[in-house]
Amino acid sequence: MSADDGESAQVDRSPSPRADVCVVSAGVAGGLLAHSLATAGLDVVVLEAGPRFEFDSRIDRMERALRPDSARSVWDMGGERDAFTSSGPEYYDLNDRRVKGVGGATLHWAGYTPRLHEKDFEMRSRYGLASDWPIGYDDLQSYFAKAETELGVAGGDDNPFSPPREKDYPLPPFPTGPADSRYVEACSDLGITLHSAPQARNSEAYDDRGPCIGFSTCIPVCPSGAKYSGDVHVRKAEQAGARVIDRAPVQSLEHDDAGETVEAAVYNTPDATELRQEARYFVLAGGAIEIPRLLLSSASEAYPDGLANSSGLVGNYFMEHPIASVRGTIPKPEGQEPIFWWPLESHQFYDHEEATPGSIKLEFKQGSSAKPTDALSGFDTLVDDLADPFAGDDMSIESGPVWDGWGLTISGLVEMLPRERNRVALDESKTDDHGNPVPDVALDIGEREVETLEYVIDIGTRILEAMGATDIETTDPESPGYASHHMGTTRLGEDPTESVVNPQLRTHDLDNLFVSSSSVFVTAGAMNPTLAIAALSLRLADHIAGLD
Amino acid sequence: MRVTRRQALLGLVGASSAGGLGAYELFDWTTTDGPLSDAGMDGLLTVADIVHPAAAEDAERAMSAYVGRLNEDRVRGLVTTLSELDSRSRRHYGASFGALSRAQGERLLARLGVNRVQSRPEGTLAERVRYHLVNSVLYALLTRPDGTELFGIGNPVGFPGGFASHTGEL
Repeated sequence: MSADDGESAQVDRSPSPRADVCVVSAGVAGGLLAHSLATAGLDVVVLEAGPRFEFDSRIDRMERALRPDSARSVWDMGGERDAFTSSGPEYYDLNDRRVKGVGGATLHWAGYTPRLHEKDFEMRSRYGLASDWPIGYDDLQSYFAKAETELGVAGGDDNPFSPPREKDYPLPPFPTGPADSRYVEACSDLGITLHSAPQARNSEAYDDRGPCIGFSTCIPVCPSGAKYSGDVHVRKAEQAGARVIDRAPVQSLEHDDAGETVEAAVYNTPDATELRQEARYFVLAGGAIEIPRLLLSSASEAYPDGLANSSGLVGNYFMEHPIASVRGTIPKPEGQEPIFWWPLESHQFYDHEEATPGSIKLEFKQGSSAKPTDALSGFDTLVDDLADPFAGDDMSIESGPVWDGWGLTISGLVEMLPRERNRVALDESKTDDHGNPVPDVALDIGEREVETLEYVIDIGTRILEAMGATDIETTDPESPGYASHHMGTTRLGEDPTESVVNPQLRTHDLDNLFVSSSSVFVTAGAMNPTLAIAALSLRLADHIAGLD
Repeated sequence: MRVTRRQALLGLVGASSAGGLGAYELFDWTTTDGPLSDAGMDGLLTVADIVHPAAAEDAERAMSAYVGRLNEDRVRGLVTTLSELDSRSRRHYGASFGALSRAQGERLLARLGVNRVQSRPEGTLAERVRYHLVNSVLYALLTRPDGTELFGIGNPVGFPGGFASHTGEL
């Protein structure tokens, strides 16, 4: 039995004496950075807007996730604190796609950790599209490897499409099952190669965390802790001497008279307002929504359009990963249990010669969206293939999900180009629980994304047809779902008029303000972004540690 | 088939009426086994008998494991609802809910309208019975193999059955 978030009676949230580094946000980027810097001997303070989540509360959070009648969000998102506006052509449900608290969004991620490819950094040079990054794969390669070690990635050496690697993954890949074999056979006939999907989930004990024991609820919560989440390195950072203050949302950043350096992060707590944490360096690590929001909220006389925003680009070029899916049904393979993860991917359609269609990362899922616990949904909202436990006079549940068929889903994450019209701005007409304007998100896809999504559907349909699947259906390429990958709102670049941060991740405008986040991505690729976030964070830690 | 404590109790009740149960103290802080008293557990087992009789053999173990990991708010909601249901049971049948037969319990739930309301953690008694008792008991049973094997599922989502079950080798 435990409280949800570990709040004890007396928590000191007063500022520390002037620190070496103040990190804003305790997700995977902030945790890795704080750990590295504290280990290097720097005095680090981390300010986290949300709470510490008690580990023991995860079992209850899993119940929230599995019960259709659950009254609370799994990670307590929503309400005035998390108010937002979606002003794009299609509604974007931001609060389903983020977590505020120690550990951040990795608390509810699936854990997939592919590396970006060389082409992702060279879109202008190769295809005449968007912009090149000012750094390349070579600059990040060793940090990708280090990130895989830190997070504990399970994967095999069977990926012929991988960018250059220097060593094996730290953990062996997850085993495949009977349904996976069916995918492999059909794809082989079509000339499509499948391979293991790298994932930061323990296939065996690693880093004082046990192996996966198969709750099958990676998204949105891992009750066992076998899946990596950012709180792991936040804890290590504290052990190395960093101080982490939770429930301390930063309201604004204050700069000196010259407008050259940030002097303090102004934060509130449950018991106090306008506290000031001073530091020599500040690192924003709160993701591609809250980082531009904080910069825009920190406008001053010197920076009337928002801090570090002399380019006018803070919040612009917001990117996501649109998803297309093809679903079908085959007879249930013998021995296959309906647990929900996918150990196979194909990166065969990632690198491409022509500009369009863009990069695709294919995922091969199975099972069904129906679960036994769906029976709790209630008689008038019951899903089609379940019996209402209360139908008729007998109140007992007598049947469950129909498992005579086996659901297959092939999904493709698709590369999205940066566009100025896709952006995170402030909605001045609506305020959060501290009276600050809320983020206003606008997101839309273009023709190139639609064409690439159609390509996913073509490939997926061919595979499922080759498998003899029935009831094949597809998502609408014109109205895709998204992978909850937020990128691009404080982008990297050499030119201060075209970007927000320089190749060292320092803002062009302020000498001691850095950004560690997928918000610095120039282009999005089609790979899950967390490993690149981790690699950039480790690289930034080396840079800051070497400044003195 | 193993005789559960509830089944044994029902045999006792049949012989000597329910009067001997005494005060119905559901929330027992004195035990280290979990927050529910025997009487509280019997109430949950009556619910389990009604909603998922096929899982009866595992029900007591499942309920103990489930209730033992609930947080204080959830336990409070469950116990309060069970207490109120027990009052109704005594009014209608002169016995605690945990001492009712499956048919009696089912009739009482139907009389309350539990089969005609949405599940809500805070609401009318029927809505709360659906949330804290019916759906919680179902959740506890449907996240264990003993509760899902009749559907052909040996490792339901929410049960830590090991990732190797994915390979079909278990």
